Amino acid sequence: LVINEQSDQLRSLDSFLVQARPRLERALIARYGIDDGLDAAVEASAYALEHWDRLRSMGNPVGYLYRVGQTRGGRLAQRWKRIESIVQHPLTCDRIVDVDLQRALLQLKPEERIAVVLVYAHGHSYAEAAEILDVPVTAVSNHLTRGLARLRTILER
Amino acid sequence: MMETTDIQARLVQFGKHVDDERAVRAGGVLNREREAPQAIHRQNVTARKPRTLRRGAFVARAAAVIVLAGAAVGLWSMVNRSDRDGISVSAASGEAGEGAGLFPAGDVAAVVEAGFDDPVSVTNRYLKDRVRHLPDRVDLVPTVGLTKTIDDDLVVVGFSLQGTDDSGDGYALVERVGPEPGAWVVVSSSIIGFDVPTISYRDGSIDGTLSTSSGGATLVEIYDANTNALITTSELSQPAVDEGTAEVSFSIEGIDAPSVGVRFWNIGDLEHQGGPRANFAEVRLYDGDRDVNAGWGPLAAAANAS
Repeated sequence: LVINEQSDQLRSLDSFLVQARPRLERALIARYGIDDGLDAAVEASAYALEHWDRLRSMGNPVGYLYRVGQTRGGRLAQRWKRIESIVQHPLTCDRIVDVDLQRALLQLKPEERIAVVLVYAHGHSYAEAAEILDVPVTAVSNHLTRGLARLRTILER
Repeated sequence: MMETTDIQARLVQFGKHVDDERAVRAGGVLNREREAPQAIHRQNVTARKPRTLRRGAFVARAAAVIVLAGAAVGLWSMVNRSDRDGISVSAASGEAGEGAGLFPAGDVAAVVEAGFDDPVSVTNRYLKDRVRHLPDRVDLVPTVGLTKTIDDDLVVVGFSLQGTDDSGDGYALVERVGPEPGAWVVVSSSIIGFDVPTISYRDGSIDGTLSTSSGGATLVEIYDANTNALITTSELSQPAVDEGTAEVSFSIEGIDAPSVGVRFWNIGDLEHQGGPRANFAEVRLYDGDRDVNAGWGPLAAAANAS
């Protein structure tokens, strides 16, 4: 019986992570860059394993895990400020892809950048972006409107 | 004029690029989504730094958290630190049995259990706790003021202490030591003008220098940061102001605790100052910390950094 209960727990955690992890990684990458963002996502996932009982009872576990990832990523914020692209050292091509766009994204406020990247770059819904940022959908809508307008202004300079 | 649809198309391409990069990093991140949670956990555990590196990281933090921007660069060349407006941040000790900060006392688990959800509330309670235990029972009323966010986990909180015939303004450095709500802890504090240019804790001995603008005597109390037990006290005499205030060196031996809170209370002297003063500094130290710059200077630098 105990074994079955543990298996059920792991299955539910596995199912949760399969759903949540891509979004979590994409949001943390948009926030901290590819390397630190992925590190932060790994730590958040480990936290989910260790505290799954508590996490599963929460109203917004993926939003909470994003905050866990922020704790890790926030420690690297200054290094992040200095870089010029989100994917700084690409492994899948020889040079940085659309460096102007990446530089422009870095000039947005973090919440605007994450909302823009999640919705427009990765195709997540407003609701999914709102869940991970733990804000109302209307706030995501505002982030997108302002973020896109600022991106246009920056890219036209 | 650039069309919004053009930008959106570029964003879609960028999104694909990010996902491609995710797929090839860390052994295939996209594949990792299909792994059992245990495997993810094992990866993370293996990736964690050993204890010695965590201590190195703490030293980096002590250097920059508490240290003036640029003033101690040479002291920290051996550690891996990152600059952040003159403040470097690394993980506080998460070890059980090592105090996370000054208040609330205890390790990270105890801090979380104490449950202060924001920097202001923990600073408020910290000050109320400290003024209850003032040397010679001085009546001071603390007021918490503006805050300066250094990053998501580190905040400088301004405060005032008002007494019958004395007052002082100061800063507290407050850190979030875990992702859970309620993980905020005070790690350093000081009133204007109370400097601890250097302080080290190693081999059971705390050595350092202090300087206050008021001169007089200073009571030094050493607490176990994990249990909040008073380990020892010592009284230091400084030249009176009219004799020329200078740095005073001190050394306190026989300390056996992995982490300590060092409290400096300038208790003045009746002849020159008319009584105790609202004048103090406090800092958390771990065994092995060297040449930490504490007190007013680094806190003010952090609070005023752009």
